[in-house]
Amino acid sequence: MNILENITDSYKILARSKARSFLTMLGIIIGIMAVIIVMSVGAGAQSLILNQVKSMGSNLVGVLPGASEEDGPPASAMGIVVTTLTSDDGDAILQDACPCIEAVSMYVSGNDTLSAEDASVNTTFTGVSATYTDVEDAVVEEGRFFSLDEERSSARLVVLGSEVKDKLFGDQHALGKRVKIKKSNFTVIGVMEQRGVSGFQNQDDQVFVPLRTAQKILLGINHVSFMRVKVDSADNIERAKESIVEVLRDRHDIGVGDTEDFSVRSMAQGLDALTSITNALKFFLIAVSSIALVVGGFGIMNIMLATVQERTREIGLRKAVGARARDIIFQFLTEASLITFLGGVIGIILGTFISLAVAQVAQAMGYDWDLVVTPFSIILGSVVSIGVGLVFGILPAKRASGLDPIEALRYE
Amino acid sequence: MEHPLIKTQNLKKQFETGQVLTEILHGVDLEIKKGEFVSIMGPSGSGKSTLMHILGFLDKLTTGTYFFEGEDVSELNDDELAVMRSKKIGFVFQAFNLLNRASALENVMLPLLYTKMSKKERIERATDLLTQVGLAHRLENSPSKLSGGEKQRVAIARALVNNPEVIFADEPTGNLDSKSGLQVMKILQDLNELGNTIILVTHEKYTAEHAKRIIKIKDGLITDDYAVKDRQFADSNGELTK
Repeated sequence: MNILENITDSYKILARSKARSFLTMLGIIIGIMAVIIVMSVGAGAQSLILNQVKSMGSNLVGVLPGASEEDGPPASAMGIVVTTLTSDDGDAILQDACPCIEAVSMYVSGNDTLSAEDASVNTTFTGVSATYTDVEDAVVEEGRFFSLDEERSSARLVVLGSEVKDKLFGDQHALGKRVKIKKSNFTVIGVMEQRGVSGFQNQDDQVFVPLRTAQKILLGINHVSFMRVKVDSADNIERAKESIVEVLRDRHDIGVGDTEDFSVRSMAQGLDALTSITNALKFFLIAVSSIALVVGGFGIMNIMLATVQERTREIGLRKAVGARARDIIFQFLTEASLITFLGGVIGIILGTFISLAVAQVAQAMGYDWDLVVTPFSIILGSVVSIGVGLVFGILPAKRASGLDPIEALRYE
Repeated sequence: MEHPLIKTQNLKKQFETGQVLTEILHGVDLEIKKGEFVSIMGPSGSGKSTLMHILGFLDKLTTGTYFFEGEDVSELNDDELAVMRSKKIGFVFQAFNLLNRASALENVMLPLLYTKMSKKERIERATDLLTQVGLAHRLENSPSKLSGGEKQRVAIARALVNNPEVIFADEPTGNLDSKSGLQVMKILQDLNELGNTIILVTHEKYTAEHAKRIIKIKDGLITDDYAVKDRQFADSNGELTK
């Protein structure tokens, strides 16, 4: 008996009770659908994040407080506050480290409700160095950014993100107006150009104040959250990193062989860390959605066992007219894997549609989101669904093949 | 000298139910030649069905020997038994055992699924046989649309489809009215005239007498074995003619 005929026969049997076949497939449909969505949306989100991080520039080196594993996430990324990095460290890097370092920008941030004359808005205020626009390639659309002197003198000046400007002042001029942050008055000196969403942060929904102003007046702290160091060319990244480590070890009195209390990473390392985090997340989600497949598999097994019982006489007859045990096993395995394969195909189609919808929504929200349904995930979905049928069909098929033909023919 | 088709020596069959060992057949010796029409007759519980199952390779004997076409087939394994059923045996059952979801034609083709015949040949062969049993107009009908007599004729066509050496008919008229029963017996008699070996299992003397020879079995032993002198003949209309 050839495979093709076996498949058409099995298909006829499944087509006879469509509702039952569909319900049997449901677990597999949901499982495969979930896996396809997770793979596609996961890959879409991953490529989005990585592209944005890449676009920030390959000639940047980040300095973070706290030690960390070489490629793992730094402690500060886990929400732990470490206060070992100060603005003096940043100044020392610019002065004493490799001359290839062009600029250092330092960051602190907090949240508050900002109020202007007619409106108020809850947003993030970021304290940055005067070099921010240089390091980040940010453009001031209106007015200007604060100068080094203004930063050093804790001037109460603020540069608005484009979205904050719209919310506080609408179409009106913002330059020269007063804005209240944490009960202090700030003068608006500039408005940033619209930058869009980067990573998980909306770049336009924040305001920039001088670093020292943010540290002393708004937050009451001495440390900085992190630094970005601009190097003259990507080729000098390693040299820059080594010299930064040297300067900071010296400043922090870290002896030979002791663990550093800071981490210096290039963007490439950051990308690796980010990739490992997003990969771990993706695999975790795939594992979770695979549970649906296992549950679906047991559903198939259950129905197949019922089918074998129902068709006991048929099995007896087939054996009586010459079917060997392996012919019966083959027949029921074909039937089980045809159910799961059809379920898989439906799951792949539904999963692709939902991934498409997610991509559309993300694009409509302004994210640069690619739809990624790879041939690999389609092939994987098909193979896995057939595999589920084979694995969970084997017990019912074995039971069918083991029936005694005489007993089976007498079965009522 | 040509071998008899079927020969058994001291054939015994025991069943174990729980702790109790029950012997169904106590040592059966018989010989059936090619082309014979034999009735195995006995009351229920006599062991006639068990004997048929063993002769038809559906069951294994416990002790003794069974020669089929001169070869010792006493110790075949499950797969070898299946191959013997596929190549040498045709069965007709009391309850027809047709698949309701399949057409008459597909039912007849079923045994050929387990042979190497091409689909085209299988359809031709099954169509021929259904024509032979007078059901050429019923090829695409589901068994649920057929009368009892028609069902049994489909079952006979199915038994013949693999060109078997012997056809076993287990109470083939048991679920039929007398007219349909006689039509079925007529077909079996015609098949025998064409050279087919037929072994009929029945508890009715009247049905048994359609055969040429009767083997009586009681309590697991052959009690009588004789040629039928006053044989019953059925015609194709289901009338009895002597």
